[in-house]
Amino acid sequence: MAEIRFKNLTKKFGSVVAVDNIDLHIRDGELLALLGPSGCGKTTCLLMLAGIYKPTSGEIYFDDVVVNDVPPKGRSVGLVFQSYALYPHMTVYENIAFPLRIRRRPKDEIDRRVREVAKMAQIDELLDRKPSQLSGGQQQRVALCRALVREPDLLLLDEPLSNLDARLRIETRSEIKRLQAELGITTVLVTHDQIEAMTMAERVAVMRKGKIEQLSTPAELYRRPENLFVASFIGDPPMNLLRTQQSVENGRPRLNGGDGFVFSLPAEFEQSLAAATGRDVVLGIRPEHVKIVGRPGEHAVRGEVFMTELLGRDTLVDVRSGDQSIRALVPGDVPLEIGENVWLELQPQYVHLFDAGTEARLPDLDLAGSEAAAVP
Amino acid sequence: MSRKSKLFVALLLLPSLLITLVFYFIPAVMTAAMSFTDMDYRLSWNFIGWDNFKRMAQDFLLPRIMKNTLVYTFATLALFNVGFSVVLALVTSFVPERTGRIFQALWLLPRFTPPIVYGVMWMWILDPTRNGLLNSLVVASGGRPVNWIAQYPMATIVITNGIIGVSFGMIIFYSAIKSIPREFIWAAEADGASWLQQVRHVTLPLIRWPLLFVTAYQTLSLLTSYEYILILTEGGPFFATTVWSLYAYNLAFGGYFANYEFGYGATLSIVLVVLGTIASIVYWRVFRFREMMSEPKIEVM
Ligand SMILES: Nc1ncnc2c1ncn2[C@@H]1O[C@H](COP(=O)(O)OP(=O)(O)O)[C@@H](O)[C@H]1O
Ligand SMILES: [Mg+2]
Repeated sequence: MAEIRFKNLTKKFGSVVAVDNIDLHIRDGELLALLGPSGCGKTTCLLMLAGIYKPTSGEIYFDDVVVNDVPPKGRSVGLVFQSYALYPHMTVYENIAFPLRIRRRPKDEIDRRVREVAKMAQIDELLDRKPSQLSGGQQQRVALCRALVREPDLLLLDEPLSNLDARLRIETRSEIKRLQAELGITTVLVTHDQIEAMTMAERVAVMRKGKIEQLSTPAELYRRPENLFVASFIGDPPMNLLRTQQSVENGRPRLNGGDGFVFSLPAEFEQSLAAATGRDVVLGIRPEHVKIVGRPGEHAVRGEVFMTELLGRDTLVDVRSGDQSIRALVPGDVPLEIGENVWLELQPQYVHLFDAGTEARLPDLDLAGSEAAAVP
Repeated sequence: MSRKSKLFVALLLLPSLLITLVFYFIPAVMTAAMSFTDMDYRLSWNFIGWDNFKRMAQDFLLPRIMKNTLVYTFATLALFNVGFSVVLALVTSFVPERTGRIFQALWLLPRFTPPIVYGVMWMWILDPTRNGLLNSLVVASGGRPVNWIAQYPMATIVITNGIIGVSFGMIIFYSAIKSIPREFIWAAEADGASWLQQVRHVTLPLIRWPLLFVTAYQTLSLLTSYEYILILTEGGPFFATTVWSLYAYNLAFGGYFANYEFGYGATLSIVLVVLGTIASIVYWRVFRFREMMSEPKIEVM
């Protein structure tokens, strides 16, 4: 087992900075996800962990040892690729046995361990097949077995579920998580799929353009995104982000979103907004926290239904309010006409505020019982 | 397909069929027919039945020539046309791309050189006097001039042909190696394989198809080519480097001892064609070309 540290880790390809001065601590036995859009440097991080790429600068520590110059064979790392990269000319057995054969382990030990790990992944019936005779899900398990067979200190998974169909993905998700917990092996999961990261990982590092934007638990990422990028990236459907100007009226802070969109906040928010005095503020609220109500209320804004979309269990309602467009996710099939006037209730405890200039989250209030401020 | 469109397709194929017929099939049939004659410089079609084949069976030179052919073909294949070209392809795909390309261009030069120029270049390199390139080096380092071609005739023709033959396989293997998805190599690396182990367990199996193609193709081309041997050794000294195709050529056109023996020369050519065909079938069978043909050339899943 191992704990991993990145210290000022940077990787450049010519003028492209793929990984930009990252610090990261991966705890022993933890499952950490690197989450971010395509091209943000996730795979590059993984390949540096595996020893396939050498960092341009900075250090990677396995426990207390700098491993920058240690080649892959000198590290105890198992790697699973999105494409699986099973050797097509070898049988499943030979594929799984390969890392042990390379290390010239005795035949009976190889045989025992291959069968053990294959049994654990429930592919012991398939050992004589060639990869081309397997389904995507089976190939994925073989790749996982090949990575696990020599009991590595660190397991690296690069988009392991992307090539599976939706149903299989859900199954495999929990299976990998169970396996990882059982073995207690430090694991880094790379994915662009937030659901995958949020459901599987203990902690998630959200990456953008080679940098880590936020590192926290899935629950905290959802409840307390630290900046606009994370706020917009995490959540499906994505958070409403409304650009507004702040003002104070009758001692209460008001957010003015243009063409009659005005939202009043409780007086306590003044402290919070003070951090962005003189600058625009982005008001964020998740669609699932927007309520459609029949009549005006303290925290309600008026709007007109622009579009509705039935998403099975819920309906996504797109409402125009002044210059702003707000989406509400409401349970069931809601009988709303396009053009109908409605009131949207934006409860203050669900409101996220960001500085439109720095894109950073404004300091939170300590609202008793509020979910938004409940930081574990 | 309607009858009309079938006719149309046949019409489109006709020119190439005609070309094949005129330039390959008819000469082949004529050669086959010629092998049953004792045709000489008078070019008369005098059929003598199986006499040429009987003569072949008794030709005391033939075992020697057969041995030469096998040694020449398989030594050149193993050392150069397949062996060394795999090594070059691996090395040039491993070093930075630019360096690799320049290196490959150097190896392509002999192929672009006219055979006579290339042959003369080697004659100068291997010249038995102290003026030859190799001998001037030997002399400069205190040795005595060596008569390279006379002392090492087989090595001479293997090396001179091999240096040209290398580039074909090198180019094919190089592009095959480059089209292996990077993940396979990374996976092998992560699994702990050294460079040589990656080559042995991953790269070479993944370029199996190009390997077999080049082997088969070069076998046939080596069996039938003799121009550099003709230029450098003329098959000598005393038949030491006479391969089958050169022997047939010498019988028909060459200046050894029996000129213009078109009939017997044709017999030898026909037998070579048959042997080549058998070799192709063996390759086909052993390496299961048919299966490979239906697979993508570079295996990926
Ligand atoms: N071998 C490479 N050569 C040049 N550029 C690369 C290479 N690998 C990755 N990059 C670049 O580095 C950036 C990060 O790539 P990558 O780590 O693969 O992103 P991700 O896995 O998050 O999609 C991208 O801009 C990509 O184009
Ligand atoms: Mg990637």
